[in-house]
Amino acid sequence: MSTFLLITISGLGLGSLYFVLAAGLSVIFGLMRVLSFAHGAFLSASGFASWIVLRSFETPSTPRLLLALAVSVLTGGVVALLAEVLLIRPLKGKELEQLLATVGLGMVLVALMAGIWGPDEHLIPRPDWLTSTTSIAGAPISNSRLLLIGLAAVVLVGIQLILARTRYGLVIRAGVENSAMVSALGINVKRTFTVVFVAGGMLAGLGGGLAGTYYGGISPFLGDGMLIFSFIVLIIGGLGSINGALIASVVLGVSQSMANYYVLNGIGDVLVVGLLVATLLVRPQGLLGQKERLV
Amino acid sequence: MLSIGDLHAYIGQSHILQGVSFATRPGQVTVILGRNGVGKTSTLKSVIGLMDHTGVIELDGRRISGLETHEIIRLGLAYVPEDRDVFHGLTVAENLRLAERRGLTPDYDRVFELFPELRDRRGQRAGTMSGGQQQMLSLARALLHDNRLMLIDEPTKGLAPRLVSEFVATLEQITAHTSVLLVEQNLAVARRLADHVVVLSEGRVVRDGPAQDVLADDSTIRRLLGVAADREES
Repeated sequence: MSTFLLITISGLGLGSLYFVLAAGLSVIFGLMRVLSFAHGAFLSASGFASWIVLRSFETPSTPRLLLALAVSVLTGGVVALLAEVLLIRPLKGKELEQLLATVGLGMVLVALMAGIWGPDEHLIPRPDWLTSTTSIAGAPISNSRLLLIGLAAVVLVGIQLILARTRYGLVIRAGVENSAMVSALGINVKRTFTVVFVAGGMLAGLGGGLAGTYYGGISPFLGDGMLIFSFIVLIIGGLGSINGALIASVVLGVSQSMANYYVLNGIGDVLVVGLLVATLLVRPQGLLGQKERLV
Repeated sequence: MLSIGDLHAYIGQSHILQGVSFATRPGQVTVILGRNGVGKTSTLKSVIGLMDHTGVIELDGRRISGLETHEIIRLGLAYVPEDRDVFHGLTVAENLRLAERRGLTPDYDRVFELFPELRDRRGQRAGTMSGGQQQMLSLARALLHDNRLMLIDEPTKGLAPRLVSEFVATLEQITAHTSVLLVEQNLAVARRLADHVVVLSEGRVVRDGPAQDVLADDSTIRRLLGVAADREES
């Protein structure tokens, strides 16, 4: 029983990581119709920012970890801001060109990081409590998984509150349906596009900081691997649906961990692809696509 | 008021607007008439910057072509689109709140006086309302604030005949206080509301003048409007 609980919570931690990245991608696609392939690189860049902060101290501590997470969030936001202003905005309305631009940007950033810090993984110093475990119903649960799950829950609640309670949220929900009509009501949608893209970058940044705590290290290619699974989450959950992304993240993370442990290590990735194919065949719009978006 | 000069616009390879020029007058209702596909909706979309175009569009002498859509709207324009375009996933109250403009006080009393049904349906999702109710909401969004000019695109399209007469009565109340540029295919509606008429054919202005003069030439109007004249007879 304790092993089952351990694997389940570990899977929830992995799903939380997928969700943090997928949530930003989902809102960006819903509003801007931009499928950003650069967000994986944003995640890696932010992870490196976090690594630089943590290795600058002799011993890691909780305040230093929080500082590193803040820096990684900020890094994700700044990189996304530059990408939106310099690449996405000039290609407004050209969805294919925007997609290709994000692919190119992602490749350039990964190559840049590999050139500067090398292709290998760099270990991230972590406070002792983060590498320890907490016993839950007899199962020794890694604190890094609990941190991930907790922060993903905060992200989920934060997004839902922003969408439901703020004017920006109202504009985003309306813009997902018809951004031209939002402009025709006198609202500067371009600014909302920028805010949403930057927010998505900040979530990727948070993912970068957290991925370091989950995997214990950071490499230029970490984000691209995460991005593939986050896109699968988006497709299974339904493009543009936050709740769909949440459900798909949990399903993917848990089933991946279960399959890896109970069947064969590595088979989890195959299972995820199987779930993707099954979704596309049975329900191409995803679990909550179209009918329930961003609510 | 609004002045449009040598307006050209394309949809793909089609040259939709081929040098459209006309002007609206303050306090009047200018109705654009024409068959389907002659460029009526494209003209309105060009005015508010939702469609790429060349030519000069001025509002009270200020050039507005080239401005962003939200900037043009904030100059005191309101747009009621052809297909209502209410936000289906939002409630009536949220649709209205979205139309509130920063720094201005929304006039909900006027809106609910004109459309009392919307007051009772504030919590209802717009997507679950009938076409007539959605049209009310679309107009209500435009009436939350005073406007220098309202652009209204086929407000009676798709409405049941009983609702059309109700809507025209409401439009008469609205147009008594506001300058309006109205696209309409229903000739009977145009006759009731228009002070000034512009007739488009194949992307060009073919008639432009006071309503009583333009609409008096019955045979020409029926020839230019075709289907619309039939609709009036039915």
